[in-house]
Amino acid sequence: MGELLNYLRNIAKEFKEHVDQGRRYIVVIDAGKVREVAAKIRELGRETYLSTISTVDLIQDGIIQLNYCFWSLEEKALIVLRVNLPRDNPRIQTISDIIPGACNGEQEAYDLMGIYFDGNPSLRRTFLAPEEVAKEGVFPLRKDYKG
Amino acid sequence: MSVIEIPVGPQHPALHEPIMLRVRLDGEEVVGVDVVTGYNHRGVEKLSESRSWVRNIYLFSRICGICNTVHQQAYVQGVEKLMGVEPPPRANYIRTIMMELERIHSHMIICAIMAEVIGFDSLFMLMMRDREVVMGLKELIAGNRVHADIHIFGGVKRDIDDKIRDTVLRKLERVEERIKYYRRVFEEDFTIRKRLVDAGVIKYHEAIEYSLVGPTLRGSGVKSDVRADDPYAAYAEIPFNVITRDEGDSWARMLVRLDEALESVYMVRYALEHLPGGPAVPKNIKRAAPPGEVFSRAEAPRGELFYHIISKGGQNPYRVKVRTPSFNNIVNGVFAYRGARLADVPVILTSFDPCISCTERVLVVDESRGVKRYVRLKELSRNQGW
Repeated sequence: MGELLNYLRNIAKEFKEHVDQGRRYIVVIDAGKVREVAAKIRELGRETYLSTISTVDLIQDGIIQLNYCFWSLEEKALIVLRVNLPRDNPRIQTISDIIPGACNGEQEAYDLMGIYFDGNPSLRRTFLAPEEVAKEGVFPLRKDYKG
Repeated sequence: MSVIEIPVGPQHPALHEPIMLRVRLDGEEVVGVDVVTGYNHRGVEKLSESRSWVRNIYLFSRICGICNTVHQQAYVQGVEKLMGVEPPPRANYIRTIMMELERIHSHMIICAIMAEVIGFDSLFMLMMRDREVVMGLKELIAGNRVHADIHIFGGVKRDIDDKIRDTVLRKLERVEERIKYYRRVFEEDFTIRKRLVDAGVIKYHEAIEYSLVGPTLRGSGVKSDVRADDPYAAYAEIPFNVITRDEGDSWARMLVRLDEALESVYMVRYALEHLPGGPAVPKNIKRAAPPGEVFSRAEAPRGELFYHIISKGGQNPYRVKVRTPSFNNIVNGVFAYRGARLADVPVILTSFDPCISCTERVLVVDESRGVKRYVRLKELSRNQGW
């Protein structure tokens, strides 16, 4: 196991390995640590790119799950950085200045799931959602939205 | 000199699908580009939550007209993991054949479009003519020319018999010969080189930092291919080379595609010649999945395709997140335009192979009254609401 995975194993609240298809690691961290971990991923994983940001509304648990999915070319493994945010105020600091590839994922997560990324100047409604939905101030991928 | 802003798109002769680039110019030089998206958002992810696992196979393949088979693969292989279903080897080979045929025609269409964008229309016509042979092969195997819809949980819907195999092998010879010819044209033609070389250069580490994927990433020298790094279907058993080039410009990206298309021809040929025996078409299919989550990846013609599928049990998925390759390449790739000339903008965009999916809703216009309204697909299928 490489340096990056060792670091993540030490810092994680929870560290899971999935073998559904290829190598998959799920690393659960606190929302406050996201910038620190992102910077470390940039430093240790020069060949690691942020594949996507996947969001899930877990309405029964009152949380919105944020999954930063990294693909590591060195490890040939998918590293999922997971953060659970409170559903009533889903805010987190942006990582788009550290990892520029996060910009589109953050814009999408804001527009469709209503997660606010502090410090990302490019957040705007109607990035993907149609105008009429954006005007209502609702976020279509949330489970309580019945469009 | 002050900076002026020119909108390119959403409807523009050089763009085949609706997206807008707000290009800021200082004289002829591009100093910045903003991408404006959202013209065709269909809400497929939301829609999938209210449909059954099986119906979603067809929904996800409709995300893209060109790379529909790979969308089905990414979805179906993920759900199969959740269900605990293993497709037989023959089915995996047939899926791989379909996906590689798709890659050939997808790469041919974007090279043809590139020819058209730079004003080389006869090349466009010729490539589209030869691409039609591959579309014919897709139809021969799957029964459908565009949407193959050959995937089903636990296998494929149609098997390949000896007659079909021989026809595909025979026609591939012609396809191979033509792709080799077009590769030479792209490599040697004076006009193509003039327009493509050094247009939109992306460096090795920039490509990784900005999360670019597929031929765009490999055109900058990064050896990353889901088929090789994270094998699915039959890719672990079929030999192939991951094509990379170091130049990082539009020309490199197009040559990567043409080399890949050639590689795909060899892969289809190998798969057909080594097709395993046994069944390919499942007798029964599962319709429910137990709770769980899966991260499914596949290499679409445009790059890494990502599905995050979550099940809470039952007939429908709880959430399916789809990340298509163009979402990264088009939105994050804007830095590549800086420093280029205005005339290079369509060339650079085309070199990313943009795919902006079209709309699921249908807009019906009542000409006589001038009334517009949206009609749901369900109403259309019942022939109501006109």
